[in-house]
Amino acid sequence: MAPRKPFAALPPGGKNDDPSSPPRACAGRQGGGHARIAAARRAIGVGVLACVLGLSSAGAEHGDVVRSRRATAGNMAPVVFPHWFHRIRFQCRVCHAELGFQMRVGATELGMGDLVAGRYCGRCHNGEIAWGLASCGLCHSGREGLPDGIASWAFGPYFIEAVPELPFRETGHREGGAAASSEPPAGTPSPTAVAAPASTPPSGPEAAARPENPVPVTPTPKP
Amino acid sequence: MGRRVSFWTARAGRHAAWGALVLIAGVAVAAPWGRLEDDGIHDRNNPGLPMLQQPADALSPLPPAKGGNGVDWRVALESGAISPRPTLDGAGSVKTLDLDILMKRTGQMPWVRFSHAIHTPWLDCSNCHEQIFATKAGETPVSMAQILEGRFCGVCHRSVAFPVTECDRCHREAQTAAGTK
Ligand code: HEC
Ligand code: HEC
Ligand code: HEC
Ligand code: HEC
Ligand code: HEC
Ligand code: HEC
Repeated sequence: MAPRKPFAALPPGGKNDDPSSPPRACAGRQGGGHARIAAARRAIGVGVLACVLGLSSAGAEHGDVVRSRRATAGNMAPVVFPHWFHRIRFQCRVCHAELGFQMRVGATELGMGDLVAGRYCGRCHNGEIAWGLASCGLCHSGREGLPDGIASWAFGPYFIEAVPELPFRETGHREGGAAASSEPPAGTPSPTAVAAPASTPPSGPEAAARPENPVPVTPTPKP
Repeated sequence: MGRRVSFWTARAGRHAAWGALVLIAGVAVAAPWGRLEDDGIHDRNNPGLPMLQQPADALSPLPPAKGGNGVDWRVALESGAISPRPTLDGAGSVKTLDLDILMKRTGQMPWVRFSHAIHTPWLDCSNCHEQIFATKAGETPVSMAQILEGRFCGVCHRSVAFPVTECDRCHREAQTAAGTK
């Protein structure tokens, strides 16, 4: 029997922080009294509907990363990075040690300029290891308006916003070492709104042909 | 309860039929893994969307597990169902370590056995040491609340590795008489 997801999902088209996502349990316990049959029927109807909606949209896959801040500033749709897809092909260490991706969404400062220069995603998405950067829409595939974040199966609404500052071990590696300071930044992530130097996005689709994906993918510009 | 049954039998006609139909349709559409177009983060109107792989196509053949991606990634790796590259070019070897650490500050819960042998086939030492954990057993004060916040084990087990809801995959070492702490 295949494993099943919980019924929580993003409300279609809405903000992910909407607490009114479909309930985890199907209807069947509402109403009861004969005087409330009409209400019960409505409730059951709504329950069944919510149930069906919940069933048919299981939510984003656990580990799907959304990078949106710079993409949005550059008038592009947010980037969706699927962990499940990449971890079948690469161990975590390839990206998180060899290529220098941080283990905190939004913490790796990167832009198209880095990618074109062969860093980060661009180390692989260069037409050799994987299809090249001309296929904008395969990466810039996110719904407009999403914040930086990551999908997590464990959290009801499925999608948690990124904490920009790494709330790592108290011994903050950033200060450079194992000097144990007993003050964890307890839930007070200092905002790292680093105004990153604008890197130049490629002016247009590059010539790089993609044999695996011959259909040209157009970028999804924001209106 | 009896009243509910009679309610349903009395209305067995149109309403139940419709309800059943809608439910069946819902179950038929329901997959253990969401479809990209319905997952709430992809833009349905993106012309590139059909080129992306649907999670179910890749994940359904892999060893199943409860929660997360619905995949037991440890078994997938150990059984050879997947063989992710250890380095970018696939060459070279990686450093692994077979060292278990028994974490006993678990209150009423079974103890936690942290296994380097399970983690190091995926991760580099530098992914955990010294950023997340001290390189000395018992040095890192870990609590469940912090894990749920996304620190320590929660860095990965909140959102990428199997999720924190699967208590017994970590808390699986029965406490023995030999005292805690
Ligand atoms: C192909 C590259 C790649 C691989 C392989 C990969 N990751 Fe990631 N990972 C990323 C990127 C990109 C991000 C987002 C980083 C950012 O936004 O700065 C990320 C983010 C993360 C985060 C941060 C999540 C958060 O809550 O903020 C964690 C944890 C993580 N990865 C764990 C893993 C683990 C565990 C594995 C192996 C099973 C893995 N990654 C494999 C590319 C990769
Ligand atoms: C391999 C994936 C990938 C492909 C392909 C790709 N991008 Fe990006 N792009 C990214 C990522 C990741 C970011 C950083 C997003 C963020 O941090 O908000 C980004 C950011 C951007 C930005 C924001 C400005 C900047 O440089 O930071 C623009 C504009 C952009 N991309 C345009 C394009 C265009 C146009 C194409 C097609 C020619 C394209 N991208 C193809 C991954 C990709
Ligand atoms: C270590 C190499 C590597 C890195 C780094 C990498 N990718 Fe990939 N990616 C791949 C490979 C290999 C494929 C599969 C290509 C193919 O099917 O030809 C792929 C495929 C994809 C796909 C398509 C998945 C599908 O459903 O078909 C997306 C989207 C993607 N990558 C986004 C990104 C983004 C965004 C980044 C940077 C944050 C990134 N990748 C970094 C290797 C990498
Ligand atoms: C997934 C995270 C993770 C990775 C990857 C990892 N470790 Fe550890 N390691 C831990 C934890 C957790 C502890 C226990 C720390 C504590 O209790 O404070 C530990 C403890 C240790 C200790 C101390 C053991 C003792 O008896 O005092 C050593 C030595 C060590 N690790 C070496 C390594 C080496 C070498 C690698 C790479 C091959 C590695 N670790 C990779 C998480 C990790
Ligand atoms: C990723 C592994 C992991 C998962 C999953 C996990 N725990 Fe823990 N838990 C730990 C670790 C590690 C400790 C700290 C042990 C230590 O420091 O010796 C801990 C400690 C605890 C404690 C002790 C008190 C405290 O707050 O620290 C309780 C109670 C607890 N866990 C309950 C749970 C419950 C309930 C679940 C499921 C919802 C769960 N844990 C899931 C790893 C896990
Ligand atoms: C840097 C990322 C990372 C950290 C930190 C981490 N893990 Fe893991 N852990 C993984 C990955 C990746 C796997 C492979 C299985 C998966 O992805 O579901 C795994 C697997 C496991 C498993 C095997 C589960 C099974 O049933 O086979 C256990 C148990 C576990 N981790 C416990 C812990 C505990 C306890 C801690 C904290 C002391 C911890 N992990 C910290 C990434 C991490």
